[in-house]
Amino acid sequence: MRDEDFILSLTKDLEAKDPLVSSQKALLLWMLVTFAVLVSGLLMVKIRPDVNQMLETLSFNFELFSALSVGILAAGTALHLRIPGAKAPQKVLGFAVSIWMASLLFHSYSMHVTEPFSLKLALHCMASIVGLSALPGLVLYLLIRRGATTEPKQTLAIVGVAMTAAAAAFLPLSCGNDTALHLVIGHGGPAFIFGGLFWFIGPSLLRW
Amino acid sequence: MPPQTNSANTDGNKIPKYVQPGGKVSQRKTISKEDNWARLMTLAQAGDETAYGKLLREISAYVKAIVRKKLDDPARADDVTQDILLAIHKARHTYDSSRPFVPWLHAILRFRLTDQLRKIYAGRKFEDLDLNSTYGETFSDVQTNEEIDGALIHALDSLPEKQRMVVKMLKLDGLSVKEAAQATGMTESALKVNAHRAYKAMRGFLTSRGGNDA
Repeated sequence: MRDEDFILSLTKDLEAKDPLVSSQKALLLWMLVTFAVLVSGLLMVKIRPDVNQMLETLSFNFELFSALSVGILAAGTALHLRIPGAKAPQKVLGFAVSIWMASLLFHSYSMHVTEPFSLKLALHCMASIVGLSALPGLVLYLLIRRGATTEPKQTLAIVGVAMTAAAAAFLPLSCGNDTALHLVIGHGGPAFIFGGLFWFIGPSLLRW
Repeated sequence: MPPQTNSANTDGNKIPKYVQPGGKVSQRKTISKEDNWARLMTLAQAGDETAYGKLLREISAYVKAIVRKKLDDPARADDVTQDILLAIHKARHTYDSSRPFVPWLHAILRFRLTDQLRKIYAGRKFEDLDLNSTYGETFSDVQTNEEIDGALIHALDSLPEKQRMVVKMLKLDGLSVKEAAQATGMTESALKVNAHRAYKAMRGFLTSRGGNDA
């Protein structure tokens, strides 16, 4: 088809398009949904008995805050990446993930944990994170699908980090195991697993 | 320089400050090419066909110049240009008039161009294959109207069901894009995308048959 014919076919019966919802509004919506889902999920499982005591410790709050920051920052970055040409703070996100991992180790060492690492418990926490993060992940994916990302691998990988980090921010309120290896594998691991997995399937899931 | 966007048209869409609701330019006597494209895209988002046509024509020439630097084959460069224009069409709702237009355009251009170049280079691996052994009948054998019709029917039959239906509606039944979209339940953009892909696939089908003569 010649260019002129092609352009005419695109312009014919052109309909007005609503501009994309701003990244800030979309992020706020995602945060509300995620908060509702995670609080409901947490109410369905038992809260750790020493939660009040833990909430008074600096390292525990630091762990929760860092995971939550990574979740929100990653979701914001992913939502920003759905706009072609928009600059997203990927380096800041990488730094935030490092801080989060450090906070897990800091919390574990400050608790002077003596109990041994259990792979079964770690896998249980990973499964809980996957379950808790499924709906927030889906919502974030649908919000991103409305855009037109030119970095599908990176965008979906960041979605994986956002959904798992948000769930990991709430999980310590239920999980009573503070072993360093447990925290890194069971709580932090899903972010890397899903980030990596989504990196590969990004181009097929975010095709437009 | 990004256009200033502290005004809105009747639909509530943000438009550059120097664009009046009627489309007249004010406050500035001359505007740069980028500002003009941003203005045209803003009008296109509001459904202005004329502005959109003008924008696509200007962008087409710009995109083609960039694509031709990467591709020697003019026909292929035209195909890639159309693919990029289609991507711009599909992503037009993501343009934010408060941001500069060219980085948005270049991000889409780079994305689609890389994708197309990857496909082209992957396809070159098979160019040395002898396709004459695959097809007994070659395109040069097709000379009569009946045979041309037959070749087109073959090309049409080679399409997936949805694309075949779209081509039949638009080219054989003479329906408009709007009518065909209503009949199929697709959006108009989706229909146009399907039609474009169908034409491309049919052209590829017929070219591959023609190429067997060589």
